[in-house]
Amino acid sequence: MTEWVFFVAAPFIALLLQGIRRKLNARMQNRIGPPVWQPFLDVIKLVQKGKSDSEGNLNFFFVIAPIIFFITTWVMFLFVPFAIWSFEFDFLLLIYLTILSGGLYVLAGFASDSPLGVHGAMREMITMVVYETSFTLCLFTFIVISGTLTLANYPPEGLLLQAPLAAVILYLIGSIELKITPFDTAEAPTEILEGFSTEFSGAGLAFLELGDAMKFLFFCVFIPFLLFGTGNMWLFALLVLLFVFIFTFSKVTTPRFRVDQVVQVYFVVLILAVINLAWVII
Amino acid sequence: MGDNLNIIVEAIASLFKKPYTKRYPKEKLKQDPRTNAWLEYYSKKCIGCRMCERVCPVGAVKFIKKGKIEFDMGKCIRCGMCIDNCPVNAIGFNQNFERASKDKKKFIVK
Amino acid sequence: MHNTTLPIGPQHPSIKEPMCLRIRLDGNNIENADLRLGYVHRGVEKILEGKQVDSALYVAERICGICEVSHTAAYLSAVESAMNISINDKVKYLRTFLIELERLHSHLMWSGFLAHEIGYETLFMYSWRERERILEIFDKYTGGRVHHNVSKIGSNKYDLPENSKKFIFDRLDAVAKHAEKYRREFEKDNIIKARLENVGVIPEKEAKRYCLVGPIARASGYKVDVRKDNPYFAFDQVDFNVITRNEGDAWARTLVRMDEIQESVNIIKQLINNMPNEKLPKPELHMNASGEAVGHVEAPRGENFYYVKINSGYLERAKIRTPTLNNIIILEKILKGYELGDVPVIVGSLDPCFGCLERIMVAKDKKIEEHDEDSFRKKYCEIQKPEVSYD
Repeated sequence: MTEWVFFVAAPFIALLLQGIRRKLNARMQNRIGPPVWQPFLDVIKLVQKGKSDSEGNLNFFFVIAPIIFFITTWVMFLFVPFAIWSFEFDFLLLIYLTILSGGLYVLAGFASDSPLGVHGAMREMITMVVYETSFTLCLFTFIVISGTLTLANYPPEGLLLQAPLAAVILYLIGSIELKITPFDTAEAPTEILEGFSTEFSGAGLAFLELGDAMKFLFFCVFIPFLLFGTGNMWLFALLVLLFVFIFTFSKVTTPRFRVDQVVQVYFVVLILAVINLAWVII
Repeated sequence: MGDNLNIIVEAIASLFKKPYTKRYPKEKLKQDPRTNAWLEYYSKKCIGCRMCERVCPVGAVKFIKKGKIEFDMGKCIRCGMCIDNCPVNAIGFNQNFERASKDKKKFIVK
Repeated sequence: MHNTTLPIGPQHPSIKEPMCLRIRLDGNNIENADLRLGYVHRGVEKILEGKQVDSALYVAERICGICEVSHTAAYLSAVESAMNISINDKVKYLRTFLIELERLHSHLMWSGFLAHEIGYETLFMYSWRERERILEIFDKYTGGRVHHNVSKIGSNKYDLPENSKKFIFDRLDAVAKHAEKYRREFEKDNIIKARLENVGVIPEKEAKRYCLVGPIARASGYKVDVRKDNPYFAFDQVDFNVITRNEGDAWARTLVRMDEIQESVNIIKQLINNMPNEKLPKPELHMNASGEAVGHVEAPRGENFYYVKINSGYLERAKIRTPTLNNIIILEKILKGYELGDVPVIVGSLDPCFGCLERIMVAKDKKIEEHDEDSFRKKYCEIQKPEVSYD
């Protein structure tokens, strides 16, 4: 029962976490910041607003990409942290789903009739080649250690001690997937005006924002799930909040890398992931 | 991040400090006596010398007759030239700055 | 990868004021850039013509919202030398005090702005918080945070408020302390260095060729500063250094400005400690003066130059040349060869101020032609092909 409640409430929890994150961000910058419920108001207002799309944007993918992005990120909560829907090889499906949600973001960028969106998608694709590979390799180490491809059989005490290097890799992958500085080059509001979402308006933008918020929640849940397990639910919830703080703190205290520098950093991460996997296998 | 931790320390410390921002409508701002916010015109003192009209850099002063001058605060740049050059101190500034309005007539001081 | 033309502006988060930079991209690299201006043209020089000298001061003050004390000071130094008015030490000290406060506020604002360009929102918020302290001093002294309205020809409207020394020193100390911290952040932080170093490099030779002014020239090793070269107001009575660096990149420009903050704090402290005890002369209207003169001051961005011609108390002509005009010309040249991510850094490091800059008007054959930027270029800036004869 709890599983289903969490699954249904995931968008609301995600938006609440966004609010907490914004408040934390503001307080660290010595500001007051918006109220915690502000993201709810934002989404409600965006849905109410009409669309103002130019003719170049009137294509199928532009309409469908934000909705599929939102659904994909929501579906990921069927597997993590509670295995609501469990079958053999669902770990692999989860890996595909995370890559798909990144790919849909790229699709949204290319579908919009704007050089800024195309540039955002281009940057994302360049970095995706490196970071999705290392993400997959990093997850393979967990599969190798736990010896299971079914998330329901994942050891509830977590695998931090068996693969400590993976913690660092997961954190770095999380930062770039969630577009958190120093690796938010694909969005970069001062350079390409947030790239993908430049052309979106109204409900489409609301779905993108919701999807973003849920992706943030997913990574805040997924990393503690892999490293510390879900043995103690209260500890797990605390760890989720800790990761919210860590990601916010990273956003507050770092500037942004250029795209070539990001790729350099993630080549190092890729090498680390390979070393990690090799170490675990040997 | 680098080798100095200044911003990190300040960010953590800011979490436990009061925000620097003031919530304006709830917390009233203190106005300095030198603030130039809104004109006051004392028509009884006016001698009709038209000095204010002459020195105004933006043409916000409309002279009708002695004791009847209209100051368009929409045009006014609060430079204080009319006040400095009035021979009988018939014009002055006050500190009441909360005057935003959609009605253009409210911007005319008579 | 296909070529695209990307417009940066007129509305864009990486520029403070409207300008349009059309960037021709080859993939991610800049092939060439085309700067288009004219979005905030207000015809200020024309507005100034025919105004009474005392009133025109307030119009000059409103040309720019950031370096407005410099505009006032340059206008005043031009007008006062045209009308042979000598000012006493007290007025000189008060004006210098305002100019240096303005340099502090402009540089703090700019440093926060550069941090925003490279995605460092926190440093942006902190810098602007420090700027707020400077604005509080402005507010205390003049009653206005942005437009001050205290300068008068030959005089000054107010003296410093009584017992304000502690108020000012407290805030200056806080600003100096925090600015030093942020300077170290700019100097040491690896990511900031990775973003700023070797970006937008201007060699000293180019800086001299393009007649650059202000911190941008000084960051390229070209020592030019009106405060030292031709001291005006009280700058010959205070002790300060002109800061130069030799790298010529965006990082050097940042550090030059951050160092100038410390110098400005020192100058203001000297000024307040040595403030003479004279009385301010009573301001008066100048209805019959005539003359013609130039004046220049060092604005936060560089040399600000005024030419005025006064005829029986009224301005006949005013010509203004702001530092941005000198500095913006090199932008198209130094953008070439960098990539899209460097554009905000390079544009930001030049610190353009278009509110000051835009005044193109051509007087020819006693007819006044008004131009927008396109038609001006077409008519006057394109190189005419020489007629070749083949005999």
